[in-house]
Amino acid sequence: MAVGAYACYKLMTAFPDMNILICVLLSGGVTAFVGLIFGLPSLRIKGFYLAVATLAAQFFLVWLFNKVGWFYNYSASGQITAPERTLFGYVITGAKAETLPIYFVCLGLLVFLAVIARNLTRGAMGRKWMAIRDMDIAAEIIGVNPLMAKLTAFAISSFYVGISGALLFALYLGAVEVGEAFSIQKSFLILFMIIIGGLGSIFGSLVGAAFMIAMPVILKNLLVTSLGWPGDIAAHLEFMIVGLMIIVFLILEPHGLAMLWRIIKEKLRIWPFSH
Amino acid sequence: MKLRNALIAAFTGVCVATPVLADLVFPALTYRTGAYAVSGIPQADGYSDYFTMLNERDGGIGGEPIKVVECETQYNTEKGVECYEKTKGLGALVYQPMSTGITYQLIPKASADGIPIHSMGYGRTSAANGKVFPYVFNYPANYWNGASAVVNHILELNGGNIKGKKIALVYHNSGYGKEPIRTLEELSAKHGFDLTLLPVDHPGQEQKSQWLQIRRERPDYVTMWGWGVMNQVAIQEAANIRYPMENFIGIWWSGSENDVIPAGDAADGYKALALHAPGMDFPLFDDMKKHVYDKGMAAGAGDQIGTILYNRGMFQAILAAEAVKVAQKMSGKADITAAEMRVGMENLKVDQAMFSNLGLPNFAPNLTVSCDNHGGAGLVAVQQWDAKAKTWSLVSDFKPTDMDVINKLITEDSSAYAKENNITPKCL
Repeated sequence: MAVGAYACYKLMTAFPDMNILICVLLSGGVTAFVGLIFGLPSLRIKGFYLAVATLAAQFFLVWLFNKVGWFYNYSASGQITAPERTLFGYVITGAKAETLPIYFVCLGLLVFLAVIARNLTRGAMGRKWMAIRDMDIAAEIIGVNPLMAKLTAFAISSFYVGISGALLFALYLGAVEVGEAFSIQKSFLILFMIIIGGLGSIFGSLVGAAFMIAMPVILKNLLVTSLGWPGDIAAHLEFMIVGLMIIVFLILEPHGLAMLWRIIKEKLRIWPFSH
Repeated sequence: MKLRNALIAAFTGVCVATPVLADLVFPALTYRTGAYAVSGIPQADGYSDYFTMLNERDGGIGGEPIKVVECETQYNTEKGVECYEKTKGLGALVYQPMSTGITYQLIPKASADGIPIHSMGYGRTSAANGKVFPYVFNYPANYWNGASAVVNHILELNGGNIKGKKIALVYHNSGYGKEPIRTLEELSAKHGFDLTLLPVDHPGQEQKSQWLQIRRERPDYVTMWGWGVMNQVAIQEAANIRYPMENFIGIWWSGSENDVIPAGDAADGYKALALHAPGMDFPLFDDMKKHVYDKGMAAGAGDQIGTILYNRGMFQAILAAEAVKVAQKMSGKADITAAEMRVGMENLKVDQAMFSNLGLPNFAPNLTVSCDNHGGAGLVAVQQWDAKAKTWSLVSDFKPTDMDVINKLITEDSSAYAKENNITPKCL
């Protein structure tokens, strides 16, 4: 995500005339390339060891963006700030941006990319990825090239992550400090979205993201605004609820909210007459 | 049915934010949780207790009641922006983001919305140029004043010559900690000292390698830009390597009771900069006790009164309240808007007569704000910790800093910002 954000910043400041959407897509491309590089070790290591190896990328990139002044155009504070850009006459980045245009731009991109992702997983490429994920030796035997499958998986997921980073920076936050916005906490947040939403499902990641973002807001509105509780208690309660949810989901429903939704759908389909 | 009604009620409660009835709204972006809570709680308590006291004793300011809206940010920039978006519609008069990162985010947003920001002793230093940053104020002093004050203090200790001395800066690796670097570099060229930069990553609990380096290189002085849990860890580490505490000087955010008490006797002699007097030896605290504490209306746990950061929070509230008074006088009405508040802040004059009236004689130096200078006088003192008595005491007067160097940098940085954002510098 940090790569996406910084690529977007560099593109936006280096080419002021470029359309913001092109910037965002290109920064996805840059991230895909970086992801590819960090994906190379995936050919040799597997499972948890791979997760730990990619964790190195997290720390390396944050350090890099903090250390090398070129990435933040040598600004005194080390922050990057999105300049103002418009799309179809609406200001969507910078301070004067209104919320609605930002929302619709993000929604449009989300739908567009989700459709592509859905189709990718249904196509030959997605099937190859799933084969490698489920059992790499078997996949190799039936003729899936593990090199290609693993590297494309890394590249494409990095592309998506890069776009989300670019959007988070340019459209949502407007200014970013790498140590804070893209810290390990952000990585954990994303991991929790996937765990709660459901591994290996596009719908699940959307539901998980909605849950992880909306839950604290709803909780805060309910407890602080409506019931008048102090804000710190609500914040602590949020930690407890998130922690509890993760444990509960890992034990009871490893496939997350997406699976839960599927079960409910099935149940409703045959309701009220089971069999 | 009952359950459903309750659910509907809860849901509407969630969707509709309750309207605020009072008129002078001060949003407080506080952090009572997370790694910075140790610094955030006393400040938040001081800020809101002073307003509670004004409400109880005087019925608000100029007859208008005050409403403090707290929003928990955890010192996190994203949450801070969320808090801003949530509270700006309530008629917010001034934002005190209490975090440099959040201040940076809010500067363009608040300027577009026309709500003033008061980043007191933190935030973007070059915002002292009110022509470029009409909505941002950072009086009474900024980080560059702080950097210069540290160097001045060291100069004083060495009879004005620090050529070849080594000074290390231990800083929070964020926009906040990076602020003084420019000035220190400039000053190191001017006075000929060596500067070593030692960044500490968020949240600052791991500083072994930085202090190992200090142990190896033995800099003559160490200065620190730390916040939250980072401060206590640094002081503990300094004690562990037996670094002479009187050569260790923190910024005003690294000098509170919570930072030095964990290190115990070893912290004795640690110095920090000060924007105001420590302690509660002032008549105002009698009013605070009578109107807030005895009535059980204190914010938080109510155990922070009289600490450095509590006083800092109170000072923030005092400056805001005084600006409201100026704004009320200038606009001729009690119920002021954010735009009028901005004018009030820009015409704020603080002198010793005012402090005496408030019951805080000699609490802080005089201060005059103008369109050219949103940064105030930049007068900074040095305070020192006495571990036996568990008190901070001022060891110097409030002294001016090297404004030649600082003003040049402010002009440079603010005009770069103006150019980047197409701002024509002018007084509003």
